[in-house]
Amino acid sequence: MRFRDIRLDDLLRNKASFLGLVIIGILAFTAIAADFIAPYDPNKIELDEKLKPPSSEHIFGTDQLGRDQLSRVIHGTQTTFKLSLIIVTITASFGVFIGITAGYFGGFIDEILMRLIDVLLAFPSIILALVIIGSLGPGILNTVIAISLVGWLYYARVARASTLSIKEKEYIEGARAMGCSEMYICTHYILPNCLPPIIVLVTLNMGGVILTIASLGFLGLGAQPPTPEWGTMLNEGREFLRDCPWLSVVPGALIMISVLAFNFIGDGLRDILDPRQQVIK
Amino acid sequence: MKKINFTGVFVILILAVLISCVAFSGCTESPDAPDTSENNVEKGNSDKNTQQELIIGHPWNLKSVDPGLSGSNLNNFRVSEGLISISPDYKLLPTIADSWEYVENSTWRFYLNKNVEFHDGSKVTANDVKTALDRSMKLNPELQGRLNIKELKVVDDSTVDIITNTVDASLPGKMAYGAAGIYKNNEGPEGTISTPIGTGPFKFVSYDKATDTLKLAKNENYRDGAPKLDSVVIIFGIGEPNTREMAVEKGEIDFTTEPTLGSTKRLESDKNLNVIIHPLCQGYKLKFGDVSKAPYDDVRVRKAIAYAIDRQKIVDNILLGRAIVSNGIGITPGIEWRNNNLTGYAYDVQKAKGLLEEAGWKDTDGDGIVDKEGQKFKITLYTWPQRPALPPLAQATQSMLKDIGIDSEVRIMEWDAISDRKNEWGMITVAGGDACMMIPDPSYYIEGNFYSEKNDYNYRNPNVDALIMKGRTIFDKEERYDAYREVQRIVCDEDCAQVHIAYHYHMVVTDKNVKNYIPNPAHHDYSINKDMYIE
Repeated sequence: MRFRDIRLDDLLRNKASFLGLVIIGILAFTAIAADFIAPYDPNKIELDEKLKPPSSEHIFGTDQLGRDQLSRVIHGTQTTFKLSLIIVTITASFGVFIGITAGYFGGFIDEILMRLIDVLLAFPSIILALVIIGSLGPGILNTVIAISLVGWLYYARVARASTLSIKEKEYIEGARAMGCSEMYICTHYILPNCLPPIIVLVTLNMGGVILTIASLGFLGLGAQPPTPEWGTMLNEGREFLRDCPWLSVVPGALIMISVLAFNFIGDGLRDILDPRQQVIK
Repeated sequence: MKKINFTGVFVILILAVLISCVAFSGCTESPDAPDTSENNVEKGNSDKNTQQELIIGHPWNLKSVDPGLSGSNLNNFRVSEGLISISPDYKLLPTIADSWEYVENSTWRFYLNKNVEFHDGSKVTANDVKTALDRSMKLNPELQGRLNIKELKVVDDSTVDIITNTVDASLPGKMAYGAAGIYKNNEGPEGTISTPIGTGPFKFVSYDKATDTLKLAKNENYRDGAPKLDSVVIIFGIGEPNTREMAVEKGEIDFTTEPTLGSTKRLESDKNLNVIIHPLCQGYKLKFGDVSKAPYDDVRVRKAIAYAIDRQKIVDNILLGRAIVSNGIGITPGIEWRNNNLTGYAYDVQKAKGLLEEAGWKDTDGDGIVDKEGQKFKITLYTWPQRPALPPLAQATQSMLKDIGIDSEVRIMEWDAISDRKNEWGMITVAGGDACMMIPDPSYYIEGNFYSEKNDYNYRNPNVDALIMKGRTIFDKEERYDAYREVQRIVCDEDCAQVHIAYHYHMVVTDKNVKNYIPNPAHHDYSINKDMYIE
């Protein structure tokens, strides 16, 4: 199974992943066009308009500082998607780099890197992220650093496993016989061939990253106010949970929906890419 | 091929909603201490007239019942008492001490009330006073630092001399400090007290560490008559305001404090509850990181910030009526030594902009942010998350400062981490819970905030220091208070050392049958009264 074999219509045929794609499509559009579609400035404080229930003027109501909840949610989508894309890019590329290095060269390097990963995997990742943020201080940049530092481990493992099997293939022998440098072999033969499982991991991981960002925001360690971010909004709304439930329900539902959508796509991709299931098709 | 169809998706969604419903209702129904609430129901039904039990839900943890460590809690729940106590109208009341006078050479003499008995029936002697205070000061360095006591001397059975390190006119007020309660020293072999014996209207019965629950019973022999309540149960550590609120609504507890900010209207309209909102000697303010350094070394900048805050809007919309506007000093109206003639800083954006411009801060590049010598006025507002009103307050401040061209960033972190950042350029702390009556004496608030040696933001004014020294060493009450009033005028109207925003109003929610609760604004955050009863 090669990367180029992933065809969009396969993905669309699977209803769950189709739904996932549609949701992510809408959310991604919202994130990109946030500045144009948000009806109000998300940080504009109108104290006289505070805690208004949903109405035609403010579809999701207003928060305790009179900011339009819909605009905040839209900009929150942007914050969350931007952060999770950055984090996943960093972790996936670093993890794959480490994984291929360890798998291809083996021996001492492999031993050291894998034992390091074993040690890091022994900690629950959210605790490790909390510790890192605790020492760096809260903020968006530090959230990215903390989640990236703990997020690359699985990518490295998967990439190493693929590399171990790929490097024994005959075409690698062939490339070596033709005098290709090791760098060339890694980037042109091994990397493309170990991408499919990584792609699945990326989509599944997106959901996890969104949850981690929201958890850190909820604990007050992620995005700092007034930055609109789902987890932070959830926390701000908690104080008014019983009197103004829309403040927490809307960002909470969005977190759930986006995580669910990414998981649907991830599941769909895994089904397509799983060689054992090709037979049935 | 494994396929998840739409039906499956909907089943999952419905399940998720159901689970969250169950979890939510679970929260409301699971009592924090099942045994006590059951007791309440049983007692309430069987012998309503004979058994009066008050159940209190308290936000903080108790940690210890040793009066040397938890003196303030035991004082507020009326197990122990101090030599002196403070009345709701801020007067010093003789309690264990009948009277007191300044003798000479930094010595205060306290004459004890001969009728005061401990819960075990023994009389309180001068020796007990000395033992208790010596022990508390040894265990609690914070108390030792505040009391400024060199030594206690027993003169006779009912007279004790307290000798201070320096001449100190503020000592009587300090004796009303919650942590300076008097108790019987019955410490066990490991040096801790597990069954505190005090002199108050309620006796210690038991403390369960696992549920953080303290049980008290009435002291039949209390010198001013036995209390009406038979017993009091205090469930400590219900930190989440939503939980306390629901517990009192469902009748699991009879009395609690500080529910969520937005709940006032709903709770007030609940026929089964009483809502009491009363002043508490605490406030909200902006505290500059360092007033000896730019940009706050210029008093015009400090005043500009003070004028830029629309306090009425903050009180109405963020503190949601649980506060009143303060234009000047953090001493609650009604306190005797407060200077009531301060001009203060009423909201005035034009004046604020003018002051900034006078100080050289102008918007030269047209981006809406003022700058001076190439430096933009970009600052950080720090605050902490434990008080729910603070993060929104910080954000409102941010938007108000923006109106006069000051750009700011809000950062929410733990209190300890904030105090490490005092040296950052333009650092401001948005503070709440700023107490001015912890010790009922003007020196407590004024020295802590404005005395050169004690304040932590480099505020130095020799005139203020001289007046504070005067306040410490003269014993005529009016003359002394005048010195402190003059300090307030200087630090507020002349120097604008801090920007005070609002005085806090405390909210207590009780079952409608709980009667006779008299709030005491000088107690942090509340205390129970001897004469409370359940109808």
